[in-house]
Amino acid sequence: MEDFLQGTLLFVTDPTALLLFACGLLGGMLFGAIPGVNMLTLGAVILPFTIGMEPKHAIMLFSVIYVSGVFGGAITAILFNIPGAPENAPTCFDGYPMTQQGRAGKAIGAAASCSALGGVGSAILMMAATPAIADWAVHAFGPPEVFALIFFGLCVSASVGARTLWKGWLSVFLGLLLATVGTDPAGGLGRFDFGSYYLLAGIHFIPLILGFFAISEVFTQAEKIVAGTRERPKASLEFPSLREFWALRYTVSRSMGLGFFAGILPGIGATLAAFLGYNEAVRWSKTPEKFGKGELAGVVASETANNAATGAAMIPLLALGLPGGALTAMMLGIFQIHGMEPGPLIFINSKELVWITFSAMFFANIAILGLGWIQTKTVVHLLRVPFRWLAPGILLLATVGAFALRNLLVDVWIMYLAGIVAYFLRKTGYSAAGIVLGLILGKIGESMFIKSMQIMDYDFLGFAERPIAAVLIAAGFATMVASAVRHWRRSRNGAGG
Amino acid sequence: MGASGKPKLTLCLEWGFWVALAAAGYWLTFEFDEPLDIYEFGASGWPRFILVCIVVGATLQLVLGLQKERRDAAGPPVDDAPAEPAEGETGRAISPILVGIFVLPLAYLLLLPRTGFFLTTPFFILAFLWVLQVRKVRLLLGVTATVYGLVLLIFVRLFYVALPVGNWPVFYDINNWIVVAVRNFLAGG
Repeated sequence: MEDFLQGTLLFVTDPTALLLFACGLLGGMLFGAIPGVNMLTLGAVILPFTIGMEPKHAIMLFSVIYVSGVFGGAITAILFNIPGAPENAPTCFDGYPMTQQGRAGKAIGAAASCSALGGVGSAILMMAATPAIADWAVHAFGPPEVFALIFFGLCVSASVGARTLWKGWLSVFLGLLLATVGTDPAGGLGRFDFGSYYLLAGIHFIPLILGFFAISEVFTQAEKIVAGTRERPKASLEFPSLREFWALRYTVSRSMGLGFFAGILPGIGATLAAFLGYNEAVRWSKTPEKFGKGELAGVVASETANNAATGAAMIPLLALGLPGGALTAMMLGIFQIHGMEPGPLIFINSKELVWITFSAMFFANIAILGLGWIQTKTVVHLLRVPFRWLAPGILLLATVGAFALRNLLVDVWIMYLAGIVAYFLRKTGYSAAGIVLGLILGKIGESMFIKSMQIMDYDFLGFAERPIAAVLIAAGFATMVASAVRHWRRSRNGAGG
Repeated sequence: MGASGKPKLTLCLEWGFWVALAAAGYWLTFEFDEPLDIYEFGASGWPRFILVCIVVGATLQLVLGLQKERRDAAGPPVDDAPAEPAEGETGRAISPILVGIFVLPLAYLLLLPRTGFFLTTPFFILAFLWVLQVRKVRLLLGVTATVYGLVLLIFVRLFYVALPVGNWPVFYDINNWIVVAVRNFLAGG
């Protein structure tokens, strides 16, 4: 506590730190909201300028960008079904239907409040237990455990979002298959690349997400406009009530725990955190059928979890020098630029840096609450603009976003084809979420499976000998069986009238 | 076939799609089916496992779906999930306008590397608005100018995104001229 107060004092009395804090907060939110140019783009652009900064300012700036960037993508996800970043994809599932029902204000309010709540909770945990948690997570979670966690995540996601269990699984398998396009992680051989140099790098998930969510939505709405059946959503400014938040206390705490846990693990981070948070919210809900149709708990679960992952991601970076994702890898680069080495000694040698960063992350999460409230009162008015005027803008934003990713037109083609495929998948009841999660987790899943096999000498029973992996795999199978039984019962009851 | 004919056909078509996809994928895996020294299952092991899972999943979907169809046909009519009207479905055949909505972005993509982003985009915006039944000239021009202007300001001036400038001689020159003009104009130069 004393360290935190000291860090806060240092932070609020340092004009440079305050200025960088404000720039990072607004920049992260802006870049997080524009598809294709995410917080990583901003990080990459400003990385060279950190040479001239003090290390504490540079690390603090990046940590604030991380916090606000993860939240920024929620706004476009809710208003236009365009997730600014992959970690906001599950926010679309219920956030956008809420907008269509005239409850956009409530969805944005919930996203801001829960992002802040998840982030603050995560920051407090980060401050309280960074060295101990980092040590446990890194030693307890080897490739078999990470593979088991991914297996569990896929089992859960297969039972969510699709019209039937089998459609859910087929969606996940399609995502996993798409993830195999490109260079294989073991020997570097090209797979399903059709001799194309561009496909060797694999299918990036951002064009696919843009296609599945933004493009298919434009097609669907355009069809309704042409058919004359589209109703314009009301631009409501209503904020969620305290009673509504209180009713979701279990969802918030569960998502916070899941987000924090996923954030600690290298390579997993906020995206899986958001999906796990959403999936568990559906699983534990008494009314799971309401999810995907504008359930407030869906937005709350996803946004709490992804922001809870941000504080947790700092733990392995600071305590062990292990970056969990691209932005934390840039932070490691900043340490190296300044001739510093993160690790347990950083808490003794650079105490000021650590506590200014922790304080800034804490206050960035609180600032999200205020900015979210302002956005609820302002950005929602965009809904008053007729969709037929917005549609070309959304298409262009997605086009430039997909292209800017790698300066490849093939990404734009993939995005439009994914949009057309998703338009038909939505009509036949397959799950876009399942495909996206399969694609995101497929690559890391295969890589972890290869390492696991090498570690365990190709003995599948090796998973059973590692307690955490065994529990996660058992939980995955239990989820599979439970979903199958639920599906079978529903089917029997349906047949029985 | 009666009323259950359509769901049965849909189930069979879906199964056919998945099995054809898996078969094609499996056949393609032979292109990279080489033994690896460091990994016993090789580069094709993981994709083949997924493809087998797809066939199993699709077959289970077909078999259980057909069983359900049979039960439903024998019993009273039930509120069956696949029969619910899909989002945005109007019950009519795909109209030429809807085809236009799909085709227009693809045509735009085909033209982008040839005629360039800066020349093609205003026409694309105009055409898309027209397909969406915007007919007032002032609106068509206003929305096009606003969207195009914002894209240029954000992506060309602020983020310096290198958008395609085309490869057809005259178009290439005009696109480059627009890029330079935009950067100079918005920079106040």
